[in-house]
Amino acid sequence: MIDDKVLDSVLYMSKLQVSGEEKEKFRKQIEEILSYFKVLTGVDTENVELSAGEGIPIEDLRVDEIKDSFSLAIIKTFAADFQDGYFPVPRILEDASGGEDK
Amino acid sequence: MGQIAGKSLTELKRLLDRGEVSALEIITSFKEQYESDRKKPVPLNGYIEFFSDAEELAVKADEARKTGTSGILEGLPIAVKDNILISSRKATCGSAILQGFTAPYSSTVVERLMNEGIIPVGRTNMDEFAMGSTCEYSVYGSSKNPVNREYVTGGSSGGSAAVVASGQAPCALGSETGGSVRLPASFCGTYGFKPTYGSLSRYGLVAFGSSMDQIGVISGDPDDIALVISVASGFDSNDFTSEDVDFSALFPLKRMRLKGKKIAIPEELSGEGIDKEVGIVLERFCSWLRSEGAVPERVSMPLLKTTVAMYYIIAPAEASSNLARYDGVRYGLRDITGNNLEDLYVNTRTKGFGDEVKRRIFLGNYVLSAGYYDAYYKKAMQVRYLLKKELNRILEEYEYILSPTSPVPPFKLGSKIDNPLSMYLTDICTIFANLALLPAVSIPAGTTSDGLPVGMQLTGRMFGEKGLLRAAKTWFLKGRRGEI
Repeated sequence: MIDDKVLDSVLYMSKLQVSGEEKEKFRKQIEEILSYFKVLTGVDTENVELSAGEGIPIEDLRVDEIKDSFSLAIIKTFAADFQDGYFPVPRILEDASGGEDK
Repeated sequence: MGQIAGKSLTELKRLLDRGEVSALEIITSFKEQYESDRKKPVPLNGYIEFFSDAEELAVKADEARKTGTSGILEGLPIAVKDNILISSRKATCGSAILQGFTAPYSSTVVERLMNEGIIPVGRTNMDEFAMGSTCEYSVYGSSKNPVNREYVTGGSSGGSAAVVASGQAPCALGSETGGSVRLPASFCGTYGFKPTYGSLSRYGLVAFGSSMDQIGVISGDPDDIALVISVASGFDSNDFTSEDVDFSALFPLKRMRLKGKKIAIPEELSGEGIDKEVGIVLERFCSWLRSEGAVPERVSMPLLKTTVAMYYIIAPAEASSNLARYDGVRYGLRDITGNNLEDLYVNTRTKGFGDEVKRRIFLGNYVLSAGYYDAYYKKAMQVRYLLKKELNRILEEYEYILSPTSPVPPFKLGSKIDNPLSMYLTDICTIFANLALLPAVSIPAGTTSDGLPVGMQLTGRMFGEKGLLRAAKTWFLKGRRGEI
């Protein structure tokens, strides 16, 4: 039911990897769960609109005003690496020379 | 006065208010209970951490009581699930990906309780990101059922139920997305309450399935639950799904007069698929209701057969979005073994999340994908709409919906861990309340022939917490008088 292309593309979207030997077990478990979801097909939903809920009238929303947020000192405690007010990340584009990133 | 550990929050409050015990004595007693259990060959593993400064805070609470500056919960202990933030304390959601994370603020529920003097004594174990029904999917290992340590506690708030049932805390906060308070309460023999969606603020509860997430309360006494809800509920400008409800007069609970009240028992949750011994407890509970003058009636609710499918589409869809924030950049685990940003994301998340969380993120992204969205997510949301409508219609005619909390009694550790679908089906009795946003309480109603706890569940109308908790109190008082 889930071919390699679908499995790999959903894993890519999920930013996850499943190792070779675990992949078949993972696929089987997901297929079994998806197959169970078929129980929903028996419910007639033809005239049911999809709604995200009633929503909140705009006048009831809180005033759009600037409030104090976390200080840099607190944010610094979140991450192992925090420099000059920024969270450093590895480079986004591959280094053509194959050099290592910091 | 007798032993402190094992007493309810309400009893301890009375003793403290009368000056018959100090906050320090209370906290020390629960700490000793925890310490002594840790030395056992198979500890319960309910707490991830018992706060080292809890006794220090108790001393301050005793001082506040002397100077007349105390709140109504001054010096009373509460255990808190590891996904509910307490400022300056660690919060990891039972996951490797949040190791080392310290909460920068308190959840609104905890803050409101602490403003009245409550002392959070520790963080309790849970299935990773609250995804699980047994408390086995935790990076800290499984919690054990205090009634029989070879059995699961139920999940995901298994640590909270275990510490309450074993007398290591009088009361605990848990969280629910699909039954994670009621199921472990049922398996461990305590009361477990899920408020109406919106009664308690979700601010500071780590998000899993935002349209269903709700903080809940576990205790051996329904009055404890009422006390906590009376202080913690109400609108919070940090959570616009919270409601302006006033439950301040909820505590103390009065006995409920059940005479003439109609109670619906779903045929779909009381016959086929329900364990025989659970069915016997249900029948006994019905007999008690009849003896109180209530009128339990079997009612067909066919959509209840579809709730597991609905839930395991909607909750993972929301989780796949909520858990996208764990990417190794800002907080928690950071795996820098790769070469670029994509590697950072993938390696961190692959290493940091456990198998069940990975399955649910995958399922969520799958059901939201082009080509599958209509068949899965849209369909589930449409059926959810029909379910809400149907249950609200039934609750216009009936006071409560009664069912077992779980179709099966507690089972052995490890027996379902490799079969996710079988694990999901354990939730069949609880998740309809989450999908329909309704309040529900699990009541310790009996035991199996092996002495394992069996819970019965009453589900009520939107914001009908008072009636539900009063019904639970009526059962509690009956038990106290030895009449059940």
